[in-house]
Amino acid sequence: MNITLYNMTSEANCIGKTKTAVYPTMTGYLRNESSRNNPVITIEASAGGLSTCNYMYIEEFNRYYFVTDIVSVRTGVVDIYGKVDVLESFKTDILNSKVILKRQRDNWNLYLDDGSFLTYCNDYMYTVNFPTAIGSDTYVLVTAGY
Amino acid sequence: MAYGWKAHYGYYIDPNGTGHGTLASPYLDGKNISDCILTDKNTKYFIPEVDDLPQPHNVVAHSTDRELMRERFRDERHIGTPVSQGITDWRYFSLFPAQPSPSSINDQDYWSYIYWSMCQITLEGNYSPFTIVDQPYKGNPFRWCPKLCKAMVPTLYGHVAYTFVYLYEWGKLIDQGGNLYTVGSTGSITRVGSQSFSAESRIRINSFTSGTSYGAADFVVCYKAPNAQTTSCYSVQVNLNGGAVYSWAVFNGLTTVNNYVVTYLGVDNGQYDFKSDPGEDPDPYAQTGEKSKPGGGGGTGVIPGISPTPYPGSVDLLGVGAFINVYTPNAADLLALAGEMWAPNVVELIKGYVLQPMDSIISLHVMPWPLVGGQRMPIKLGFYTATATAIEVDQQYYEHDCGTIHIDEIWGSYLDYKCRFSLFLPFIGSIPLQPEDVIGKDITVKYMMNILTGSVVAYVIRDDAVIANFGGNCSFQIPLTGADKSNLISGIIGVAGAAVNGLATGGMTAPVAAGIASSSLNTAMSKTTYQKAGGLGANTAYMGIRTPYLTVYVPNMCLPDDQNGFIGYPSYITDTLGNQRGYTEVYKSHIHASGASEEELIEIENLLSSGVIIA
Repeated sequence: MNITLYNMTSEANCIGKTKTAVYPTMTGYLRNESSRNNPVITIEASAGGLSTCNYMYIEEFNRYYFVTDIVSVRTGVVDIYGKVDVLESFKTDILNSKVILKRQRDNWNLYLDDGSFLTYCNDYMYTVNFPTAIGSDTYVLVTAGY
Repeated sequence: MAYGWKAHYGYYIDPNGTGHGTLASPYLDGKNISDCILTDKNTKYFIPEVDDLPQPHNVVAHSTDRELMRERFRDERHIGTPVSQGITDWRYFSLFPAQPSPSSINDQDYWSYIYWSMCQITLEGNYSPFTIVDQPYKGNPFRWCPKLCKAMVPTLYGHVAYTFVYLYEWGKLIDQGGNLYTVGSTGSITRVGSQSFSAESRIRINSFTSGTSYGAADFVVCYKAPNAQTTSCYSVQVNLNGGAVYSWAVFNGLTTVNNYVVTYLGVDNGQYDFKSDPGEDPDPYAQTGEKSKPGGGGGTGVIPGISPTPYPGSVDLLGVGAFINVYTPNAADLLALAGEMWAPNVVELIKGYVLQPMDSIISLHVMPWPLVGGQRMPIKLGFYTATATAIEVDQQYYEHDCGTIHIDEIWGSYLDYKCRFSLFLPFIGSIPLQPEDVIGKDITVKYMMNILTGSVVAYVIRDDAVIANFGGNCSFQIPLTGADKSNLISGIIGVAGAAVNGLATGGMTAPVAAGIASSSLNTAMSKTTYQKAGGLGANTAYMGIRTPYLTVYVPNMCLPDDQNGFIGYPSYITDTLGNQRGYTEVYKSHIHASGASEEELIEIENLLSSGVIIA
């Protein structure tokens, strides 16, 4: 099967990862008792040459994988352990999905209180005076009489 | 986006010329300089003069007229000018005498005058360019400067001057830095180095020649806004006009007077103590964004904007002139009346109708309102018409409009609706108001007053609709007594005179016609010698504040840096994930991914629920 090995520099939970192909086209084969989601691929390469490879794409599975381990089998042959990256493998379908956002960096409604904003115990205080005070004092004399 | 920060500026000179990092004996202690604290009163190197404001055009001549100096400074600073066109603001500046060959520390010609202050300003708008909002500083830019300090330090050949800037963002030190300057043999000061920092003031001063226009590099100010990616530098040209008249440099940052070069070291300013007026606080996250829409259920989703309770307006009631007479006398009128009432013949005459002459007086009290008077008329006491006169009042209810205030949002978020509001109403007391009644609204307070009883009702009006009304009493009842005829009446005049500036009643109780109830035409059979109407003790509100005011308690938000980048802000908005960037947490999703197994779909939804970053 055709494998592309990458050096990936994004966060694991990133959709749209930044990656640089280290070995664009390599041929390997699936080791016995490997799964599609956690495959073990045997390729002919030196373990030292793969030191920067932490990500791969397997064309036959149409999926991206995190490289979780590289094990030298013998000289010039290594096993590459992978774990499927569903976010990158199904990126197009995910990004086309409509969802209810819970929290977002730029698309938010700050009038919602979900408890994520903390406040100090000491409030600010200020006062605003009304423009006009109640006026000057006046005597009032009330008498009986007609 | 609005933003704000504060900066502390400092300056000291190392006489040994060893430079930054080995400031073994600085004349000015940078730690204390911003507080305007003397490091050593016995030295001549530090002369603080709080509020001694220098004139930028001629620092040698100081004015003792503080307001004049402030006014001048206000005129000559360019708040409101975009940063890209000028210096943000001056806050700290120094004056370096550019005299040749300074050689003696005792020669004051070669000393530098250094002024600094701690002020604040609100920067608003996008980072590029900043727009400085003038509003908080209208009238007096020094309003927010706790102190202005002055120091005089020697600037001799070979000395090294070190300036530093500390930048605080919301109380947290975010940046600092400084510059090193050497004093050259010609008295010029040259910047020879800097400590790395992203917000700084850089000054390079050369020897200037009269009539020469210097290049843009003569004066450079650089600064980097918090979170900005780059440092912006602005330059200014120096123009000297024959050494006599000096035009301001391009960016109001540098001018010269004779041989003096006034330099402004302040790069920005910002919030020094934003607690002093949070109404001017910048909103750190007041960005525009899509808002969730109101509505739901079977409701119309339309919220009435106006309370159905209109302001009742003026009350037009009679009651004056039928059985009673109301006057608004002055102190002289009362004295004349008192003298007349206790004249022996008049007393006997009045007592033909009532037991006590004072019984003809229903009430004498002080009201905190100027009354609309009619004609001056003789005062009627029962059937007796006195020769003493007073202005007759023919209106029972008076309205007083205390005006309107507007309360804006501080944070632009739900936190504004966590504010607490306390409205103080004179003669009534303090009452709480709901944030929904206040935020973003025009709040008006109007009083309606009954001059007979002193009862008042204060109407709190929001956008032309009454949202609350409260009752109280504002009359200060002057005690009337028959204990001692003339002495007491004379005493009353004195008490009444004092009462004008004295006491009144307050409280939330319903108005009570105390005056009418306690003294009336219903004469007592007993000639009790101590009848009184009203009382002093209850009218304490007369000593209180006469202006309504609103006290606002604003939650003090604790916002970590880049919170929305790490965990986002609350959203609860339906949208396509492809429209989002950055941290995204999904409340609910139904992902249809072609070829994905059930296990993979579950994992996708779990990951979205726990938060992903969309590049």
